[in-house]
Amino acid sequence: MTYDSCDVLIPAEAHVRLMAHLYPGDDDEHGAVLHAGIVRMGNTLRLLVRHIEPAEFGRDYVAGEYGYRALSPMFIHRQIIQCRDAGLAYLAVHNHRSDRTVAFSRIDLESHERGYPALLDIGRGVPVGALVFGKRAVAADIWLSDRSRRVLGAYRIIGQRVKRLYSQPLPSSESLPEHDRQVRMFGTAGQEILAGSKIAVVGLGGVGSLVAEYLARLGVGHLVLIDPDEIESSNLSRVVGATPVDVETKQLKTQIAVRHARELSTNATLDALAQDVVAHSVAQRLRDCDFIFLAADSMRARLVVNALAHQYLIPVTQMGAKVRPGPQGVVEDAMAAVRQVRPGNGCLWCNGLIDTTQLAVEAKSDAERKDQAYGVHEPNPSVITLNAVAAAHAVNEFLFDFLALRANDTEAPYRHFHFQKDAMQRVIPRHDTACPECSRRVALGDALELPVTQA
Amino acid sequence: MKQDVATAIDELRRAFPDTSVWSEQDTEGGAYVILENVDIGSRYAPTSTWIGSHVTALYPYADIYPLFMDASVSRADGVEFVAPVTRGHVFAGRPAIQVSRANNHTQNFPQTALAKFLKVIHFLEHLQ
Repeated sequence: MTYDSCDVLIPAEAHVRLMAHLYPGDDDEHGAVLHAGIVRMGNTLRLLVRHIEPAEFGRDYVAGEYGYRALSPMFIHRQIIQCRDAGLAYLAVHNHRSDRTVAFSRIDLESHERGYPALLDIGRGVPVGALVFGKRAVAADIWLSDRSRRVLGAYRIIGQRVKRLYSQPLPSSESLPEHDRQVRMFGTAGQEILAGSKIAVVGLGGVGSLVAEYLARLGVGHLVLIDPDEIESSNLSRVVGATPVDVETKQLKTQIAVRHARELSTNATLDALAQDVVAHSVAQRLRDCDFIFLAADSMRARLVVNALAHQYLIPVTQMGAKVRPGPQGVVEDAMAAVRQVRPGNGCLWCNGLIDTTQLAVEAKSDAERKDQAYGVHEPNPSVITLNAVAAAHAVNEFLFDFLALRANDTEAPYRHFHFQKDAMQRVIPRHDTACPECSRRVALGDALELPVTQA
Repeated sequence: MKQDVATAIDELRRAFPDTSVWSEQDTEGGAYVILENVDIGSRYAPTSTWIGSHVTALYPYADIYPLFMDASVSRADGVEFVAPVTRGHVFAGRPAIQVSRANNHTQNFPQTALAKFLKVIHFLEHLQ
């Protein structure tokens, strides 16, 4: 029988802790239970590891009645109740001594068949299941409330870089001729990952339109392109793919981005959402993305995308460019910023990059803004060359991180380019352990509402 | 109306039991809110006014900014208002005076609508 698959995502720091518990150096078998946020979108199921409950050897993880060892019934009961009450999935974990290939034993699978129907009843709808680890491999047997089962798609470790483990090494594949030169850098496996990825670009102006083009040319398989605005004549100097005819015919930026991406990538799935990302219906569509590029300049877009990063363990890159004109035609400052947001690192909220007063202002109508003397959207300077630095650096970092092309994480996930000073500033973001966003939301998945509007 | 916004309005009703609270939902799940009869002290004529604001759908992340009071309010000492208290505005169709007091450093200190209304009333009571 073949089963649908389910991806399991875990923050990098949690994965390190889990492996240290499973492989303490004694060459024995150890156990734990993971509490995992749940993401359901159509047939897609994703589980997000939020909490690790190590099973204490000899008390919670004991000699088994049927197999070598097993979690104790009391420990299992405590964990499934906690998962049920929190709306999280229950995942029992143990390890084998294998390395790059791992599979459940017959005794493992028989124990699932004996125990999981009862756990599903106790869990009242939360998925239950098991992961078995090799040193560099993971397999899963996930049971759902309708008694269907899922195997592991990929186990993704979400840090600065995204690393992937599978139950066995993936077979090599062939790439298309148009990707030959880049495959020589990141291999057919990297190209396969891009082709199988769903990536969103929020904001399709000067920076976002370039990002969308780069992703289409790279061969990303599924692009979600989001912008509520129509193209204007003042955009033509920066929005790639846009023409004067588009301005005359009042084309949406999403229509232009889709047309341009289709010219470059005939096989990609392209979703166009001509709405604000803060709308509930739009934000919901991003829950199963593999990466999000945030190129919109609104605080509300930053708020909801930052929440998606932490709550759904989706890596995010936020980008922008800013110019401050000076007297007598000399530019006082011109900068581009590229900021990586990852679970537990780079949060836009606790780094003060989401202005709460501006959030209030953005909820007002143009008439209200005018009456309340906030100014009526005086346009900021914007130049395609500055945007291109931000876009190219962001997508380049994405390639190195998303395909794990670096041996180590970069030290500073924020980069600020100051063109007037001819300097690149590396910034290490703060992490506030009391932050209500990057601490509270982590890996909760569908168990918590996103900060969205109803419209 | 979003639950956080409805809760904020309930907190205002409980904190001002002698005042009628008017509210109207906006298009995003936020609400325009007015406390109809709030005492702002003898430094003003009249000594009471309506005070209102827009609690947006992204509350409690979004600040509650600005607040408004009735356009007929003047300082009892005859001195004209200056920024951040400005005349010539309209709120929920009513001629209004705008009081622009933004929250600073709120990232990790959850704000409430009630605290913001009280903060602005306190500001008016102590305005020099």
